[in-house]
This record gives sequence, structure tokens and C-alpha cells, in this order.
Amino acid sequence: MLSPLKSANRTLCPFCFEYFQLRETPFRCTSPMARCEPEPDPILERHWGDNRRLGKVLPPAWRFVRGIKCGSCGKVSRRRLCPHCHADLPHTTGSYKNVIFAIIGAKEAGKSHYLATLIDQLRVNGGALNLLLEAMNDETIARYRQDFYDPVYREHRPISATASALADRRVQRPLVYSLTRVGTGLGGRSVIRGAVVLVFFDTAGEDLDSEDTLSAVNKYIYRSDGLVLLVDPLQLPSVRDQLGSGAGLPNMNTETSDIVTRVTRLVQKGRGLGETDRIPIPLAVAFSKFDAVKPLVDAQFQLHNVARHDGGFDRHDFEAINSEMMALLDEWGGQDLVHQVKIRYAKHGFFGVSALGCNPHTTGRISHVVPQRVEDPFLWLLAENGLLGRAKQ
Amino acid sequence: VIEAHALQFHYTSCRRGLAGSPGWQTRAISVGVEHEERRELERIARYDPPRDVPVHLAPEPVCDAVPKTFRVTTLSSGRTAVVRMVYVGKDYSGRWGNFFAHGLLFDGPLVGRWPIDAYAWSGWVSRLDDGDDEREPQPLPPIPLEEITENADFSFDELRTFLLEADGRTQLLEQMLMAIFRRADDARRLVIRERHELEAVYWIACLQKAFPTSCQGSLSCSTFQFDPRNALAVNATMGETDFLFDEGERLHQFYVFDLVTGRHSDVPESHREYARTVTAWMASDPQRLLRFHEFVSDFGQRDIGPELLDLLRVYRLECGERLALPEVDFRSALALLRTLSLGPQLGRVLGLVGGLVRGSDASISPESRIEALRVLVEGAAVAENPAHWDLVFRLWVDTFDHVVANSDDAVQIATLTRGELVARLGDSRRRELAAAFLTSGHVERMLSLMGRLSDEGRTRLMCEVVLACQRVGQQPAYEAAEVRALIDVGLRHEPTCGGNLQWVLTPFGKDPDGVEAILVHLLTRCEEYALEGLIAPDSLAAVRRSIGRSLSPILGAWGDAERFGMINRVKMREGFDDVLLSEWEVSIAASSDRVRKHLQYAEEVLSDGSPFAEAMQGVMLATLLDALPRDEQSALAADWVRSTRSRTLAGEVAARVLALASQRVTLVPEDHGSETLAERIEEEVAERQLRLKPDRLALRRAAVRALTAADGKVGAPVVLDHVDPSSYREFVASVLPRLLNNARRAEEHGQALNVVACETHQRELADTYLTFLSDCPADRFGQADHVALEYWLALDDSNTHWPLLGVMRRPVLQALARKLGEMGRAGRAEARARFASAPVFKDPALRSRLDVFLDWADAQRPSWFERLRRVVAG
Repeated sequence: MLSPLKSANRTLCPFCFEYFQLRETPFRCTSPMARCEPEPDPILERHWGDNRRLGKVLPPAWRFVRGIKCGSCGKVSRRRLCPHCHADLPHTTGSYKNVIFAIIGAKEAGKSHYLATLIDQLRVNGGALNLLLEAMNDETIARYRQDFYDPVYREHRPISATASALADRRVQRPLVYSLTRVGTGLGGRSVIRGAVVLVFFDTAGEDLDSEDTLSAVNKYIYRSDGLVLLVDPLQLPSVRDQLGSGAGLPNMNTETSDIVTRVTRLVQKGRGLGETDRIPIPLAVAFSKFDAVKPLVDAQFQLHNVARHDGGFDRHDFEAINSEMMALLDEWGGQDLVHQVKIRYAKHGFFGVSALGCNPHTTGRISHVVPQRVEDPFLWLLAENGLLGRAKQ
Repeated sequence: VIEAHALQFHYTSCRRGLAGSPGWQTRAISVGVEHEERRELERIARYDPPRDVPVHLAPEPVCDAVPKTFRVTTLSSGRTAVVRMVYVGKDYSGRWGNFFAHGLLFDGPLVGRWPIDAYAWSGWVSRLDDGDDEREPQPLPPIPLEEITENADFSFDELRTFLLEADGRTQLLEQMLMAIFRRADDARRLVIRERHELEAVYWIACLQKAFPTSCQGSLSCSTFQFDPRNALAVNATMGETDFLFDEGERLHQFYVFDLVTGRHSDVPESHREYARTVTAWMASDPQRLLRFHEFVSDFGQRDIGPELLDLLRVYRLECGERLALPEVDFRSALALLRTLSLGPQLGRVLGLVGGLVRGSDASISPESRIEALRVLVEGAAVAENPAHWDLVFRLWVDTFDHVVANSDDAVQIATLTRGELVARLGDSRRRELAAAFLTSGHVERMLSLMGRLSDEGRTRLMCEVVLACQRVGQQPAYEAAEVRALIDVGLRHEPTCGGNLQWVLTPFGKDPDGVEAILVHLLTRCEEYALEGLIAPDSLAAVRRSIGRSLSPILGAWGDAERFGMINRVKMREGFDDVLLSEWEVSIAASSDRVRKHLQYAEEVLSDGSPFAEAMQGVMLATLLDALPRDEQSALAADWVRSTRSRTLAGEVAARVLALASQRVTLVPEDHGSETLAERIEEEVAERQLRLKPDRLALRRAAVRALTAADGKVGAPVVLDHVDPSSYREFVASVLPRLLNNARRAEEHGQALNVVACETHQRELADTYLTFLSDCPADRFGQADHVALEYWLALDDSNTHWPLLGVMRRPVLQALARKLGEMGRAGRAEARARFASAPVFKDPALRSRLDVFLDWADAQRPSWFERLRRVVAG
């Protein structure tokens, strides 16, 4: 139950990343349109380009309320809106903490595929981790299904290139989930131990290519609680040389270290940090498409094994992977990235993941979806945020 | 940017472009496109293929099957953007979902062309050639507008074919057009769901070409729209998209025309006239529609709203159609034309205003017509074109006729408008205006109007005719043939002149010659009508008097000198007696001081001994007396007697004047004025051998005698038996109190009563006597009270006037007893002491009566509570 005292605290809109107080939030009438005529919402149109006629905006009560009665139809609405952008806020706003994870990386790094399989893996395997992941709104359900799940799991094709947020404001809308931690109480009954709102942002690679664009459409990055930096190992010259042209190599894209530099600068500016301050946001540097470089990895490495996060985060496994990945980067000519991350980010980890388990680059088809270690960076971020305990040994 | 050129813009996912790194970006652009415009274009150039098209399976054939998007919108900078998007499948990296957007940017709306005309341009780029994007981007050249639209498909003839090739398309288009108009009110955008891309494009073409080119800026369109969130004003769509086509969208969010399922939104009535007319023209007479669009574009009309409908109506009127425009629509169109008249097309607008007025329904109010005339006058004054003034003059004449014929209320406004008009004209133009008013055609029209006009309308018409005659130099105007003809027509319409004839006289204002001439003309005509049998011979006087009633306000507005001058001029003419008498009656009735007014009239008009004066003096005085209140009648009569003017009056009037004057004679002997007046009246009565009734002169003589007789022993005058109660009351009130106050003994008191006692007026006597008692001081029992008590206690049936006084005895004693009872202790004691010492009450019989009286008095004493109440009440 949310107390009025809590409601006086500032809350962060997971859509526009402006702070607000609950008492100043308007509501949107949720009556059927036949009962209460919809109308345009200029604020929503200005922020999100959505010019549809929607339920009436009910002005804030200027005190904490759980709902407001529509002056036209008399129905009480509990659909709370952000006072700045009029996005529908999750119904848990103010009750649960918003935990924001941003997935960043150069173009073709595999961000969308990573997000597609990560969410599916968390849904499917969440039970083993005592986690329950549920979409918070219809928009998330529809968008995940249409843009992420269906292409990969049903149509077995690569996801289309993500549009730039500059051109398509829909890209700026995050996927919003609730993550519930469950446990076992006295007598062996399941109990809920807590919940957070997880906000995932997929980013178009183009939008990380310039500092102007980054600050214009990706300001959520410096508000986030964890960053997943996907690095395509196939962009490393050493790896490309070792694999040869027959491996279906992608085009050469932006240097990952350039993206880290831009992101670092954005966070420093956004959080008011000095040049010598280290970034407090945990940064998971994940090498995507790891299945493609496995031939280059020592067979003894832990990376070849399946992770066992049984009931929590397996920190021993993480430490092994982290060490292995840094060693590999050192071997593949990525020392500068390791150095950069170590210096700038107080909390960091290196991971190797494969979202699809195969390379669709040449065929244009995903023959089978076998995600490998996609949840590792995410669970590490949860653990670093104190939202996940250690795995059973 | 060179005018009539379009700047270009290419957007796709490519290796090299303006972003500097691979990915979605503007590949190339023309010099002159601003940064913000480029950002906006990138947002517009968003494309998603329908979900149900398997775009990832076989690239080329499938890509061709995916609908293209042809999107038109206006950027924030005001430039028009036309963007064509084509799905191209894979991008340079081999990922699906790429598309190519080719945009054209025009400075403002396309002049004389519709955006859809660019649809078939052969220069559209649909994709980058292999390896193109490995080269550095080069600026794109501007394209001449002519080149873009030279192969225009979707001509009006093609659109007509499209509309007619399937049933119901015209009705659908009509509904769609109404929906477009509705968007200004309810923000619902239009969504057309089609099966085939080309059909959708045709619908968009029809909708664009239903509106003039100048209005295209407010008609953003997309031939394939995927996302309902950023829908444009008009959207076609097909296949599986984010549109749901559920009830919410169909009934509330959009105006949906679902040509796949046949379920369409209901469109509320809005600008149906425009939608129906334009659809009909498109389906049957496209050239006419084209001309209408040119007409609208000439005026730079940009908004799709009520103004467009106004322009449509104005255009139809210009084309010679007659429209029964309701008042509100007329005013709306006029307001628009007024606004347009401020622009460069002033001359044309003025012609349109003329067309609006001439082509509109007769039910348009005079106010609205005059408003239109104002627009014309203001415009003509600016344009200074003789043709415009001619138009103004013609319309002024038309409007005047309409106003005069239809509304009395608007006449003032009409006059005002003429004033405004004349104020802007030089002398020569004023003559032209007058000449336009006096054209033979208009005179004919006026003659035919006369019979239907109200008095106000006739007056206004005559005034204008007279004014026009003066302006064109037809002097004197009252002799003008037009004037006489109009008068004759008006008179013939109502030969008995039962109504007001001011309409004939008013136009001549203060021109005595004109008024006289017209009066003569009127009387002449009346006599002719009498001869012709149009007026009964015995009605002729009434007709003349009717003329006089109309003349009075005219002369009343003049100064006294002019008025009397006019009357003295015409009083000698035959037939004017009734006219002038009637004029006099009206002027007297309207005056607050009628006597003074008449005396002045008599002085100025009736003192010359003329036949008119001889005939009218008595008649007018009698009439005047009838018109006065009674009091003023007697005052006027007394004045006439005193001034001996009454001696000049004829018998009956004189008798009335003398009778009235006698009412001013008082019964007070000391009133010498009354004495003199009475003597004058008496003399004149004697001379004329008249008899006054009531005879106040005799009554005065009786009163004087009663009060002045030395012995006081006069009996009641015989005359009292014959006077009316009011005169008797006046007599008693004048005489009795003075006699009673002088009485010192009971006998004298009795004599005073005997003088005034009259059996006929018993009540009046009793009332007057009791009033006398009540007027005596209330706090003491004075001499008069004592004398009265003695008299009334001693009174018995031996008195001469016993029956009369006997009736009064008990009320009088009760009044005295009440007075004594209500007096204070000291006053009562004093009275009782006086009773005790009075010799008369030594008589036992009287003493006994006194005791009874005193018992009465004691019984009349108020209770202590009543006394307290009186003290409190003050």
C-alpha cells in the first residue's frame, strides 16, 4: 500500500525520464469510447507523435489520490499519466522501484535479438531463479510479440533493423515489465518477497553514433540502473582475420570504444559527474554472437559451459567468465576497451552471450534458436542492484 | 531555392550518408533544405510494410507487391513535402526492413497543381543501385516543377471514370469530403481501407482534387499508412497494420471507410452542400470543378472550412445560378468577401458582392443587404473605378427598393447607408447616383411599389425621389413629373386619405412653396376624386381634415413664424378651413399649454377679421374648451369675460363661456375680483338675455347678504332650495362658521342655523355643522361649545326648523359629550364650573338635561389603558 508520505517523493517517468510527484499526475478516462467521447491529447502528440483521439485527460487533484472521477462520464479512472508526456504510467508507479536497463551497442551488434531472447529466457526459466517476469501493459505485450518474439521464434528470421529514434518515436518507448521475486515461506508455501518494474530500452545503433543524437533521444541512459553494452566480436579485426571471409562476417561498423566514450560522456553530463569521477552505473560488456567465435575459444574455458544460476546469481561462474573474457579481449586486440571500461566504470563485468546460437547472416534464416548465457549480464546487473541473491552452491 | 523547383531528399539504410556512419540516415539532400526540415522529413519518411505480406521470403517480386507510400504534408517551415517510400527488402548489411524514401520539398503549396500530380513522375528514385552507397553522397539537384507534374495521372476525366465505374463511389466521396470538413471540429482523421494500392491512390486523388490547389496545405495525405498514432488528415491503408478497424476506431477515433468489409463510419452532417456539389461536378462536369478551383486559388484561400463553402456559393452566383441562401449563409459569404476585399482582388470581389446580392433569395434581410452595400461602397472608394461605382449605384437602388418595400425598421439604416455613400462621392458622382435613381425603369418600379408600401416606406421613397430630382436639377422638385406621378399613384391607392399623408408632405421639409403646392395639388385631386365618385361628397371634409392631420407635424417642426406664415398664406384659399382646423386640433392636442398655444394662434391667425377668423374663432374656442380640464375651462372662460373677448362670441359658445366663467366667482364678500367678474358676467348675461344654471351670482349675493346684514336676522334665501348640493355645501361652509363664531348666546346660535337651514340639503348642513364643532379647540370647552350646548339642550319641537334640527340634535350632543369626555381633568373641571355658574342651567328641566349630557360625557371618557396607549402613541 502506498502511503501519502511516499507519494510526496519524486518519481521518475520511465518514458520521458522527467521526475514528478504523484499528486500532480493527471489520469486518463478509461470508459469505453461509446460512453465517454475520446478527444485529442496535444501533450501526448507533442511528446510521442500520437495524434489519436484517446480517453479524456482528467486534471490532477493536486493531492495524492488513487483515481479521479471523469467529469463527463462519472467513471473513476485509475490510469495515471505522466504529467510531462502523458504516457500511461505503470499501475505500480510509486509503489515499486523502476529499474531501468539499457541495451546499447554498435549497429548490427545484435541488440534486438539479445532483447528478444533475454525476455523469453527470463519468462521461461524465471522459475529456477525464483523470478516472475510479466509485461506491464498491452503496448509491451504487442510490441514484444510483433517486433521481437514473432520474427525470431515463429518466423525464424532476423529482426529487421531497428529504426532510428529520431525518425520513429515508437523506438523510444520502452518495454515495461514487472519482476517479482518469490521465495518459500514457513511451511513451504510460495511467498512474494518483492517486486520491481523493469524497463528495457532497445536502441538503434545509429542513435549511438553521434553525441547530439545520443543526448536527444537516449537520455534514459544516464538515468538507468544498468547498462548492457553488446559488442560484436566479429567487428574485431583479429577475430575477422582468424575466422576468414567464409564465416559470414558483417560489415565493419562503429568502433565500440567510441560508443563507450559517448555513453560515458553522456552519463557524466547527465549526472553532473567530474572528469575524474567513475560512473556508478554497472556496465555489463557482453560479447554477442559468441557462438560464431567459439572456435577461437579455448575448450577449457568456462564459457563453453551452461550457466547454473540456481535460485540466484552464480558469482563464481561470473568471475570465471569475466576473467576469461578479459583474457580473450586481450588476445583479440580489445585491450583498449577493457582499459576504458575498467577506468570509467566502477562496476563492470565482461560476458559472452549468443542470442540465437546460430549465424543467420548468410542465409537470412534462423534455423534454430538456442540462446546461450543471455541472462548472465542481466542477472549480474540485478545482483549489483541488490535485487538478486547468490545462487545455491 | 528557385521558385517552381523542388528540393530533393533521399533516406534509407545505407553505408554512407549524411550521418557519417552506416545505418538509417539521409543518404543525400539538395542544398537549401534546412536541418530542422531534414529532421522532420526523416520522421515523415517512416515506412512499415503490411504484416501480412511475407516481405522476408522472396525479395524482388514481393517487394513490388508491397504498397508504396506517397505521403504529402506541410512542414513546420511552411514548405510542402511530398515523400514517396518504397520497400526495398534488405539493406547493405543484409538485414530486412529497408525502404527507400524520396522526398520533394516545395516552397509552400504547389501553385496550380495538386500533390497527387507528382505521383506519376518518372524521376522517383526507388532504391540505391548496388554500390551506390559506397560513394560519398553528393547534393541532389533541384527539379523543375513542370518536369515533376508533366505526366500527371489522375486527371479530372480519369477521376470521373473512377467514380462512375463502381456503384456508390460518388456517395462515398461525398461522405469522405464531409469527414474532412468535420476534422476541424472533432480531430477525427479519415482512414480509407482498400484492397488495392491503386484504388487507394485514386481515392486520395479524388479527395485532393475535390479541394483547390491552394487548400492542399491543410490536407495531408498518405496513400499507405501503417501507424494510426501518427495518421495524417487523409490516410489510405491496406493489409495488416496497426489499425484495428474496431468500433473504437470506426465510431470514435477516425472516420473509417472500410472498403474491404463495407463498414463505414457515420459522418455527421457537415458542409454537405460543398461535398455534394463538388462530387457532382467531379462526376459530371470536371471542367466546372477545375474552374471553381482556379476561382478559389485566385483568392489564396488555404483553409478547408466554412470559407470554402462560402466561396463555392459565391462562385455559383457568379456563374449565374440563383441560390436561396439563408440569412446566416448570406452573411457568412459576405463576411468572407469583406475580408477578401482587403486583398489584391478588390475589383473582382466587388463584382462578387454584387452577384451575391443580386443572386440571393428575396428573404435576405434589409440589414444584410445594406451590409453588402457598405462593403461595395468601401471597396469602390478604394478602387476608384467608374464601373464599380455604377455597380454600387445599381445595387443601392435595388437595395433601397428592397429595404423600403420590406422593412420599416431598416429605412433608417438605408438612409444612413446613402449618407455614407454620398459622403464618398463628388458632385458629379452624386448626380450619377441621382440619375440612376430616376431612370425610367426605376420610376416605373417605384410606381408599382407605391401601392404596397407602408407610410414610412412611401415617405422614404418620396424623400429619395425629391432629393434625386434636386440633385439632377429638376427644380422645383414638387413640380417634377415623377413626384406628381408618385403622389397620384399613392392617392389613388387610398383616395379617402384614411391614413397618414405625411409621405406626401415630408419630402419638402421647410419649403413653404413646396408644401403649399402639394397641399393645393392634394385638394385638387380630392375634388376630382369626389367628382369621379372615388370619394363620397359627404366625405370630402373628412378627407381634408385628414390632410390637415398630416400637415400638422410638418408645420409643428417649423418655427412659429414659419408655421403661422404658412397658415396665413393658405387660409384664404378655398377648401382649406377643414385642413387648417384639423392642423390646429392636432397642434393643440399635442401642446402642454393649450390655452397659451391657442391664444398665440388666435393672435397670429384669427385676429385679422378674415373670413377664416370669423368662421373659426368660435369653433376653435369650443373645441379648445372641450379639450381642457374643467378647472382650466373656467379659468379660460373667466379670462375671456374679463378681457371682453367673450362679447365677440356667438350665442351658444358665449353662454357656455359665461357659465364656465361664473364658476370662478367665489362666495366671499371680501373677494373683489369675484365681485368684478360677477358684475361682468351679470351684465353680459343680461345683455344676451341668458339664464345661468346654477346661478352662482345669486348664491354669491345671498352669502354677502347673510354675512353683512346689520341685524343678522335674515332667513334662509329661497335660492338655496334650487342649488345643487355642491353649491349648497360651498355656501354653508362659507357662511355658517363665521355666523356661529360671532354668536354669544344660544339665540344667536339658533339664528345662524336658521339662516342656512334648508330642508333639501339636510345632510350637507349636518356635515358642515359637525365639522365646525370638530374644528373648535379640542383641549377646552370654549365659548362656541358652551353656546352650542345651551342651544341644543334647550332645542325642542317648537323650533321653526324642528324636523331638520331635531334630526341633528342627538349627533351634535354626542359630539359635544365626546369632546368633553376626552378632555383633560383641568378642562373638564373648568367646563363643569362654568355649567354650574351658568344661569340657564338653573332651570330644573335644563339642569336635568345637562346631567344626562354629563353622564354621556363621563361614559365617553377613555379607559386608563386607552389613555396610556395614546400617550405611548404620542
